[in-house]
Amino acid sequence: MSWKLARPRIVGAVAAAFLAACAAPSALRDAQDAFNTAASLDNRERSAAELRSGEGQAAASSLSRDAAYAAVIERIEGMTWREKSRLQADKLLGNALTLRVLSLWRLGRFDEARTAADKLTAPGAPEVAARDRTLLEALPALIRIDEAYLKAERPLASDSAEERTTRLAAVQLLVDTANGTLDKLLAKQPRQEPVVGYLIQSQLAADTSLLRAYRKLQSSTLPDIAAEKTHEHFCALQTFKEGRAGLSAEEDRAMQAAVDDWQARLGVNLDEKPCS
Amino acid sequence: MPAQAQIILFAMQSAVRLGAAARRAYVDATLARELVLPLPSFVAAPGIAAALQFFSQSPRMLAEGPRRRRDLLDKALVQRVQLSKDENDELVIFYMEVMVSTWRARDGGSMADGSQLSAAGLDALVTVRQWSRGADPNPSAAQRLAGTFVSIGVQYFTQVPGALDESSRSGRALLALLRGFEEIDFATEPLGKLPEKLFYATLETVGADPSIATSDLRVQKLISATASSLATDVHERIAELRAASGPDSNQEERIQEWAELVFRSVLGSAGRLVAGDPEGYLGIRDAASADAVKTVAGAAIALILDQPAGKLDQVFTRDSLDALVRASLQVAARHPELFSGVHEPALRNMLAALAGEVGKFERVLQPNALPRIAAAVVAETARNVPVLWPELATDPRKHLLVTAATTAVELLTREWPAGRWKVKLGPDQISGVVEAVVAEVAATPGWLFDSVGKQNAQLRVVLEAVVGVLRARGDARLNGDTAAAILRASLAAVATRAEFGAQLAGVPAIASALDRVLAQLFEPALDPKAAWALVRSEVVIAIVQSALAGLAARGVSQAEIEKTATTLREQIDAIADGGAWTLESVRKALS
Repeated sequence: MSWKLARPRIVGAVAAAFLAACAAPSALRDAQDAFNTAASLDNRERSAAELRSGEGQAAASSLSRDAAYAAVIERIEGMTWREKSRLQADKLLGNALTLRVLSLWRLGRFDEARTAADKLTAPGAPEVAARDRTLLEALPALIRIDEAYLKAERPLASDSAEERTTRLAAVQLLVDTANGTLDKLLAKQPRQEPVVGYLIQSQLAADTSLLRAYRKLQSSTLPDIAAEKTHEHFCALQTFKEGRAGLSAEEDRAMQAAVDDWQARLGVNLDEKPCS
Repeated sequence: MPAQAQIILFAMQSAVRLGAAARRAYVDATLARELVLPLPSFVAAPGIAAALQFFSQSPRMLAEGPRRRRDLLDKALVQRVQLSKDENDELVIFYMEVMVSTWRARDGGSMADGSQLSAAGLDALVTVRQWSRGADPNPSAAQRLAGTFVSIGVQYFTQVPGALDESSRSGRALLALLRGFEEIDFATEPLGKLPEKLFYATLETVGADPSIATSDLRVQKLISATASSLATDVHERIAELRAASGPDSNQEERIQEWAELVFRSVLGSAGRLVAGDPEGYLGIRDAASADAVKTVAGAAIALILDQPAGKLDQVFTRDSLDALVRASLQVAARHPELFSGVHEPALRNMLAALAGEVGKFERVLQPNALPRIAAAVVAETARNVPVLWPELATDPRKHLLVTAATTAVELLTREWPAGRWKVKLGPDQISGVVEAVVAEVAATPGWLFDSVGKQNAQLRVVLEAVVGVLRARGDARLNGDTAAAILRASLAAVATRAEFGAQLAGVPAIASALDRVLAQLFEPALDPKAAWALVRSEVVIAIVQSALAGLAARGVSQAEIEKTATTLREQIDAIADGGAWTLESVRKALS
């Protein structure tokens, strides 16, 4: 066979082999895209301004978000044995299963999420890369923050002082435990890693539920020690934002607006006590 | 012209390799993709809890501002009365007005029209990549693909017959270089521009000295072994550097540049040694010769790169590196066992110890001083390895010549108490004396060890005493060159006649003899005519050498030393009286 005849056949064969071999990573990319869409909707749904724009819109957004998380789970659980083996060989299976864990968590399927995360961190589990490992380690804290939120927002069965005290203590314990876990994880991260911004905001989310619980259950503001912690968390976020290098003016303004939202929802008074 | 079938086969293999590299890059990119992370649940809208938390921290707000706000705050925070829903909403509006005006005062930002902005900002704050910056363990897609192209190129030229013209000098040399690269995976190993640099270095070295690129297979193996060893070394160093502190282009370029310089030096030096003595040099087994060359290249690169950046970078030039490499290769030819197997790190350890110990002294860190000393230590080591280097790799500080060089450098660079005139030796003079010390100790290890192997301080005692005499007796007529020559003469005298090292009136005899000779030569009240005649460096050196030679011949004793001093005094008086004299006549009188 001459080179002229052989060339297109070689190129065609290699291209076909390449496409076949990339099927499993492509499926994972689809799942990643679906997850990003779901997470973006999830976060936006809670954006202060959009909440104000109307209950109807928020409900629609919530439905799309849940559908997107469900699609992630379905895509990963529906993978063939061959696709999973391929992902395992490429060290991508850990990423796929982390997406499933996070989706289960966001759908409120806490027990399933916890069990799946435990399996992923057990010996012999598929290899999990740096960011994903941090998220799996953070999962118990993230679930506790959700539980604190649910406890703080759920109506009381009776209006007894005892129930109020018990409920508040439960919220306080969940928030303290979650923040303790996140503090340990934060101590292991270089200061300007993007995951740091995420972990700090998770702490601020916990602080928000605590602040609301004190108001709702005890008609009071935060005790000094909790207010101090909230201030610390907020200043850590402000510092993190200021340390982000290479941002355009527009990106910087957007991030500052997100930081301002946290200040507003937590009542952080920087005039009286600026971040040092 | 390569055969058609071979080209097709090669193209298929290459296409498969490229496809695999592209797929691997796709997999890496999939794992590294950014994810938008969902935050846990929380109520986002600022409410009455936030408003009261804010105002409760600001006593000023309770006393100042709109009347209605003050009333609501008094009710909620002072009287602790539950506010109605409308009152709550009203207070939240007051709160947001304060927040917005604060932000506006800060930078014009506002909550009212910033909803899209804050949502985008939140996304940005929770979008997280897989790996920390610089911590991605996988090579970039560009490196994977470019590296695969290079590997395919290497494979093409080494495996397809006729791809490189093996009848030409440069073709043979390049083929040898490429064979050195055959085992390297360019797609995953961070080598930067090293292959390119070694490619040009090979062509330039061969072009500058055609004798190197003979058809001798040993030279070709030498090129392959050196290139392969340096590429591996560079890859390991860059990988270590990245693991420790992330990518650093400056440090990586420094590693590559030194590897290139060492490659040129090894190729040039070893090539010439083989060409100059094809039967004798590297006439050892092939495997051993390859090991020797690799070891020398590795030791040379480690000598510079294991020191902090900048410490030795300016100390070694191409010439001084050549001298060190040449000396090492000559030792390798005589003692291949020192460069392979368990002893493979010995040379590297020895040079590291030398750079560490001797390099502490600022004046030997001038161009050429340290390299000259290192070359002397390496070259002289071959004279008597079992005695001079009894423990090889285990403790290079027990290398006699390293000890001797360190002792000499320390004494020659020491700052002495102020005397009437301080002799200061320059880097060249220091390295000259140290070379002499190293040669003397190599010939007579007794300078450092006695007959039963016990360590003694003879070298230190003698050198210290001689330097002491030079500083005490020398004046402006004693320059650095003269002082260095006298030091060398003193060492030679002690080596020739052990009695010079023995103690006479509390000092080594050599110091006593030198002191008496220099006392006559540098007498402050010396007659001007005699001083004029004796000021020249070569006259001082010749007189010292003759006086020491005479003592060595007659026997070293206090009486003989005094006799020598008297003879010299008489010669000087004769010169002062205007009598006829020649240097030869003075030397004869002293002998």
